[in-house]
Amino acid sequence: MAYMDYENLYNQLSRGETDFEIELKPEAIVEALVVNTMPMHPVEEIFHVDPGQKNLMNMPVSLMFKIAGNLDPVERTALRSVNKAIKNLADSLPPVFESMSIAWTSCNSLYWKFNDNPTEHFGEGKLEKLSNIPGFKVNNLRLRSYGRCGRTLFNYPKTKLADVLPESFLNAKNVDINVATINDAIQLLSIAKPGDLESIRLWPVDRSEGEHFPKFFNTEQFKKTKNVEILSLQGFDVEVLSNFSHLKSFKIKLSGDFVEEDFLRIRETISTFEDLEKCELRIVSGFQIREICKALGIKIPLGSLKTITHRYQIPESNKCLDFKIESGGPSILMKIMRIR
Amino acid sequence: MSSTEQGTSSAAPAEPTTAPESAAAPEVPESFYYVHGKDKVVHKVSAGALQHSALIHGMISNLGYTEEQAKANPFPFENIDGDILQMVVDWCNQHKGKPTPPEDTNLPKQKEKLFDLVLAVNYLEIKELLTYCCKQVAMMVKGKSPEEIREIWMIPTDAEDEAAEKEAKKRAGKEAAGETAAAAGDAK
Repeated sequence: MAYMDYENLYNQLSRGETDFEIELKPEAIVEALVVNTMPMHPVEEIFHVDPGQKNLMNMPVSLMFKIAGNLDPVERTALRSVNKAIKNLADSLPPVFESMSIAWTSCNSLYWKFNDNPTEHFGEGKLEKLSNIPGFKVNNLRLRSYGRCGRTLFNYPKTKLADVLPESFLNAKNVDINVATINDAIQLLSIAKPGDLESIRLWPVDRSEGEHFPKFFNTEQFKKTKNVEILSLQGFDVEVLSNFSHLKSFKIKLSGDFVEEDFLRIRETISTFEDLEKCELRIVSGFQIREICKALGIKIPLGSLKTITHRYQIPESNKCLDFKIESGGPSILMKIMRIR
Repeated sequence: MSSTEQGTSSAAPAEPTTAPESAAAPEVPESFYYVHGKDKVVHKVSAGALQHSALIHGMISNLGYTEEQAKANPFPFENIDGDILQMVVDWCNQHKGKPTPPEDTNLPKQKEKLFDLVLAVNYLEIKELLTYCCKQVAMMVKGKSPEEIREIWMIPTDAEDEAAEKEAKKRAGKEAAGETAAAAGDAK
């Protein structure tokens, strides 16, 4: 037996690897001594026993990418410690997050969450570091600033909300904003690149902010987006609706002092929206479903009325608006689809 | 060769009928093709169901088989286990001519089966099913630690990888030396 073979055997035994019956069979040792060969090393036994064994490493690289691509960048961090090959795989996938929620504290520092994961992350400079990774992108961005609601004149932060948000967040496709004032909403919206934004959702702002909505509608981001949801638009005026003429879809909750003629004017205004596919108006007006139907000239059946459908032929056009009007609590929901 | 016919009765070719001339043109009967896996069990699948597979669809459109020719020459997929091919055929039949749903919950839970299915579906180029399968493989490790991932996906550590590589090299070297010695012996 050669010195190296003795050394191998010694090393195996000193590591406590005594569980190799094949190798320690007397005839095997005799064979090793006689023909100067050692039996197969245990590692070889383990890894060459079933070359056809299915595992992730046996898959084509394109499939490994496709599989790992289903995990978001945070979920992929665990892959980085699995082994070198998987680490390289995880690192070569672009850091695209499906959704991210960012919230501002009262002193304008940030904390954030990824997708539906409840774990909160925070720390100065960390978000910027993350956003500086080449290819970083968030598809759906939720921006929240609850803390600002409770601020007073004395603890109002010197920095703006947008000042602490890294620039890379400008490229989100969909933005969901929940802030106290229209000015804060405009400030956050203004950092997004006009034209890149596919949809905007704005949660209710302070009641006193209603008069500032025209400023929101005048932002380039609003003018160039295609889908909008405004969860509360106070101080209704039919003219306001004309701001939505460029949209493919919109949802609004309208409240204010309505008069009967307003419903006809809403229908007329919406019928002029050439690009519209569908919209939903939740109207808080004090009017009941029967009164609205009457105002729109819809025949009302006898008995209780919860839902009614109505097709409106757009004058001098071959297109129609399909209305589904539903009553529910203090509001009326009007779902409108444009039929081509 | 054993044979199982997988087509549903509604999809069977219609018998020719004597329809009045004034009636609308009769529907073109659906054509069927045959596939078999490693176990040689033949599966009858409609052309509509096979459209999910870009590979088979391409073969059909390039070969221009008649139904009789197709029956005599089933497409051989020797690299796919019979039970896996059965799963694929079932999926294609279930989703024939239907829009595919955003998720599929009927995929195998056993990882070996799922890995086999991924490889088969990738080979057959069934895009939607591949997307579901890859998502399911990914979900197996969602929220798991690196050690758990290694176990679930059966991935060796770097040390194990290196050791295996070293041993493989050593063995290849030994084999090469053995072959050289044998060749020298033969020459003598």
